[in-house]
Amino acid sequence: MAETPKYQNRIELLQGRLDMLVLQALLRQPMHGYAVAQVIRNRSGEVLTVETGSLYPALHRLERRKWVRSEWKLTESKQRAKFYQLTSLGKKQLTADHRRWLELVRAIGAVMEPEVQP
Amino acid sequence: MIRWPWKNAKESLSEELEAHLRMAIAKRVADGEDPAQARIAALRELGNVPLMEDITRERWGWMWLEDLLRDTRFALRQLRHAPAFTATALLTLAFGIGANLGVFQLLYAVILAELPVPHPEEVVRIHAARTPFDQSWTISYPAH
Repeated sequence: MAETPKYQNRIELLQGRLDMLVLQALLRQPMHGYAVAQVIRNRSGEVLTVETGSLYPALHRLERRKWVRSEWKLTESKQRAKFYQLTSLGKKQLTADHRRWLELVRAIGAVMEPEVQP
Repeated sequence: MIRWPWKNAKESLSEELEAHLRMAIAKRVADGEDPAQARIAALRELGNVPLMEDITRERWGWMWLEDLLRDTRFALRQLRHAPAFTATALLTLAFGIGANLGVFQLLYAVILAELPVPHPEEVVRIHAARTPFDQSWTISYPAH
């Protein structure tokens, strides 16, 4: 049985950031919803888990905004799955989101100055 | 039954979630879990599927029409279960609408409609006549 990390190590994602993470996951290649969740989870070292309850509404939302497009394809195991692919519009959105995120991180880091060691 | 356009999308979403579930189970089994346990765990992870489908569908923006249709069908069914009330309501509506229609038809024919004369705008003088009701004189005025 695989070890499940303690619950407090898992952080629920905010909707705004989730869009950015999903777009980033699709940057390299098109993939289906399950793979997107896996990519986010693995790359974050099991810290970020996307609940399917957030993932699929997010994917459909992104598709409505034309940031991704979907296509039914066969997976390696010959199963039918809906693959999502980043559009050029989505790529622009991702870049903008990423920039905004970095600004946010910088700003927060500036406020939370490292404590002066006595 | 008419095949509403969102039925395809709904089924597509269900199929998508089923595919996700299958892959989640397969991964757990590949990691060495017992298939039955894997299914239970994967289902739990999938969460509240109907709720998720509702949230996703809400984003499509068709819910209002579907809700309207569902409510209409429900209302009709309820009416069928209460025949006395339905009959009363229908009769009342029929009388009300019918009476109003009749009065308006009369009003239209008598006052609002054109005079039964060719070129009514050229009518200059009309004779006075005694009304049959109260024996008073009425003179119609020239229509401009």
